[in-house]
Amino acid sequence: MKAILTTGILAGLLALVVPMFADIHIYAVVTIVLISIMFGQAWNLLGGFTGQISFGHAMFFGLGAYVAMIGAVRGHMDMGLGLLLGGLSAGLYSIPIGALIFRLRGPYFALGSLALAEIMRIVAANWKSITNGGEGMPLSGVNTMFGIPISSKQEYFYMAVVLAALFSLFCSYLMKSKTGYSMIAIRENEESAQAMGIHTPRYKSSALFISAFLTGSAGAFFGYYNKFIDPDMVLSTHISTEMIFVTVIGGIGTIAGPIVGSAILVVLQEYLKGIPTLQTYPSLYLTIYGFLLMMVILYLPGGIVDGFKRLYRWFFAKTRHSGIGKEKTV
Amino acid sequence: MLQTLADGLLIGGIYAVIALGLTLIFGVMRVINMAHGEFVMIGMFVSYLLFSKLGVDPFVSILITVPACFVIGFFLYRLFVEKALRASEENTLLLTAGTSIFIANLMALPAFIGPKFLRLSSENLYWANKVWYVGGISLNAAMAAGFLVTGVIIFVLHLLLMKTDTGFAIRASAQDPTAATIMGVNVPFISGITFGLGAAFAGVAGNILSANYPIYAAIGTLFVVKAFVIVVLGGMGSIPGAAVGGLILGVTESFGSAYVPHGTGFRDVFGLVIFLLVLLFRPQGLFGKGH
Repeated sequence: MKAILTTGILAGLLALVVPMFADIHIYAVVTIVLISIMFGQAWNLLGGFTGQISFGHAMFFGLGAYVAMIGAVRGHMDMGLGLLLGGLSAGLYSIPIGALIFRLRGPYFALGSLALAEIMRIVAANWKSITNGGEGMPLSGVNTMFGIPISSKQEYFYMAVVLAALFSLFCSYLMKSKTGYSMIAIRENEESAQAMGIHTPRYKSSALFISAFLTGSAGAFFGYYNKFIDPDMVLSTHISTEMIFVTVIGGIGTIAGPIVGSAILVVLQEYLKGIPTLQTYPSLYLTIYGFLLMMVILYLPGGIVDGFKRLYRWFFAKTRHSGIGKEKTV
Repeated sequence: MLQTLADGLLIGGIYAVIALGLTLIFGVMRVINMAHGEFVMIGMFVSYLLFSKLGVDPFVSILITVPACFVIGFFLYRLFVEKALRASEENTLLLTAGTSIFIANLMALPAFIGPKFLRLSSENLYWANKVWYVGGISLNAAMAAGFLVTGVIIFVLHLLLMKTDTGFAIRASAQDPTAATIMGVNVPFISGITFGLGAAFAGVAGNILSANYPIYAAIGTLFVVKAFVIVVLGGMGSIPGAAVGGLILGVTESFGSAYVPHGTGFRDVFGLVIFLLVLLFRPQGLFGKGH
């Protein structure tokens, strides 16, 4: 209930405040933040809550994006159906992938998933008849969502708000269910979880399926919003690491983590991009971005959410110290 | 047939050197260095700089690359990776991924490589389009020389690990850091040395590759994925595994692109398919000892 209320208020505020600025650029930035929240939440289910750090989630993102785009370009598929099909195909694809990849653990798992995503990228770049290869797929014309035409940045923004809110709510609901608790048990200690009677392979596969489904849907939405995809854009390692960064920098294994992390990282990137002195060379802002990422990981290893908590505790402890006399009277 | 095999072995030797550095670092510190490919790129850049400014041969510039990459690797570990290691495994992965973004984009600034493709100019380069013929097989001279250098490097590494005190300390730290500390090994320092060594190997591979490959800031990604494949293929932390895995990957790529129709575009997939097969049937790698 609390989760529904918080998410509802946050989403409502965003939907009310952003249109006040009514600036195309702000719409674009906020929509990218919302897309990052979607794939961050999706990655967090597997990486944060189940403890399986995947470096290859771009394969699900890209698959969802390609399925939706091919459907839209060739068959004028409705966006609602596209989001569903994009997610579903990524989810189905995750079943054989899971059978392979769950043989590996820890760092091996990370590397294995990265290699699988690379295969997808190379195949997509070469399979010209389906994906149009490295030239990418542009999407022209107006899309419809449940029959309603959607074209402006503002309309996409509203769609993203709804989707990101739904994703976050779904994840917080899932983590309070039996499945969610089993996932956390697997993260903490897989052997013990199994000894307690949790069917670990089944829960790991379902975590992967749900995570892949959500990532695929996020990819489909990205395709619609961006109106252009190519293998390097949606299937590169860069996308996989971006999902991990927004989650870990926000706070891994928390629902608030991907939200805070996406907001801070995307806005930081856009801010750095906007500084005139950094615009002389396109890679300068990324250099600084990379360096800041390193610093955050070093000095806030538990993420920003954890940092806030520590700050709060530190502050709280301090006030309580100074108010010892008052406490006694209570 | 023999030609294809020879081509595959030559490139495989280079892959092996890159993977050797990665597996050495993993074996001692359990750190996967996502920025490993960037050291290959640094090696290529050192080659380019010395060749274009001073006319130094890429193979001679190995003498500069090794200390340069060693120092960068050593300080990268001591200043950053070591701190992240205290937090968790995924933090070191992310830290080195952040480092990779940092280094690749730093090098893409005009002061270094810039946003362009560089090549060693061919008129003055001894190795340009040079081919050696051995028993009816034509070998790319730079790659063949590189293969020999690779052999020497693996031999030197073997001597270093087996015969010197530093080598003993490295092996001890890999086996049991706590016990090594009790025995008086300065494990953080040795880890730094190992990280530097690993980086230096990648740098040498960069020097060798610079004679044939275009040099650009983002080329590290291409090689780091291959190195990951090899390391999982051979078993993580296993040095013979890295050497053999490198050769297998090189030969597979070479045969795949020669004999499979439209194979050249999919060149990089063949190694990855082998990788999947190994995952299916021998997840601990060819030389791995299981988890």
